[in-house]
Amino acid sequence: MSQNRPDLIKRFIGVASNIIAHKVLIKAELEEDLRKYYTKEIERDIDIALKYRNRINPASRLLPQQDSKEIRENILLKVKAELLKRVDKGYKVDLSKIDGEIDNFLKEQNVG
Amino acid sequence: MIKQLIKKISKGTRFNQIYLQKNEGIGFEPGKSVVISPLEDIIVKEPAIFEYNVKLKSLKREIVKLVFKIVDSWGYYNNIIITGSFLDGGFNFEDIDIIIINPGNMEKEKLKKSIEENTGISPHLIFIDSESFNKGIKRDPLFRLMVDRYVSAKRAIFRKDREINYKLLDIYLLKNKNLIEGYDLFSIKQRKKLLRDFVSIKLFSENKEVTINNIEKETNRLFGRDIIESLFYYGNNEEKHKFIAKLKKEFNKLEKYILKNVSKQA
Repeated sequence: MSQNRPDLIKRFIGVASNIIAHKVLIKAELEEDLRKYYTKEIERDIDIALKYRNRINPASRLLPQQDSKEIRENILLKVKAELLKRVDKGYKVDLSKIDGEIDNFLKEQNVG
Repeated sequence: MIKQLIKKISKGTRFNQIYLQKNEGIGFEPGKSVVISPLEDIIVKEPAIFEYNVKLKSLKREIVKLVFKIVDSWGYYNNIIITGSFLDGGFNFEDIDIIIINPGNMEKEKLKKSIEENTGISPHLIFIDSESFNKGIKRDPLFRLMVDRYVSAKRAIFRKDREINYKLLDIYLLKNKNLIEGYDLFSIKQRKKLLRDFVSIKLFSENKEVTINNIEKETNRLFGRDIIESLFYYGNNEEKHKFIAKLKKEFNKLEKYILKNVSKQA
């Protein structure tokens, strides 16, 4: 199925945001023994993010700075919204961890 | 020459005894020392298979027996449980889910390789201690689903009392959100699994039993049997948008319900 670039970027942002929000929540709320079990399954979603990334040109090198900046900002907004919704319900989430998680993820995905 | 005799122990007033006829055989004359051992310990038995909610066809039974024998030869354990799509009718499975309870001295990678080489099926091995397994059954819908239908090497009945931990369900649900975002890139098998997980979480959070039948009924009720069959069995994507829109709506409803209960539980 062919998809245009903005749509692929939108989907990449969506999948990436869920992965990162999930990662931060696991670290904040799950006991050590459970963490391992629930982290394992997210690897499948990281592959999906990578598949989207590989369809966004240029696939073999970093994205232009303008794109990577926009992707980063959108992921940050989405992850923050997802986590703040939970802080209101009593979760003890360290929001300062989000930036680091996003940077690592974007590096792994060759975004920038 | 008779080398082995099978006899029954008779009950006596002071001593229990085994009777031999005078001409029972060479080597069993009075005064000879003999070894006595329970018959069931000597006969090499086929591995037992306990089926729960499933009746395996002969070929699959043979595969299960082989898996049990292989695991048995690799070390100690409390039980071996086989679950998942391998137990579905037909041969449409890609792997075999094997849970080893309290594995002793087994090397996971070597065992995995041995099962794969001997059966030709890729195994998904889970090593777990009984405490974590029981804890999982208590509060994780997918563990409950595993014990809805299984075969095991030893008789095993699992307690099904439940403890709903809404935070855990929320984290679990969030992971499934990518079915909406990344629908196109998941394989049909992965989509089926994510949808099944979503419905399991829904049933569990509503205090309903997580069983294969209940999941199927609830999935058909939510999305319509025709849509499910068309998308997941025939790979026809015409109804995709309708399905994703409905999934999004149901997902948001469930997330709202779970988060409301998280704050009550805090």
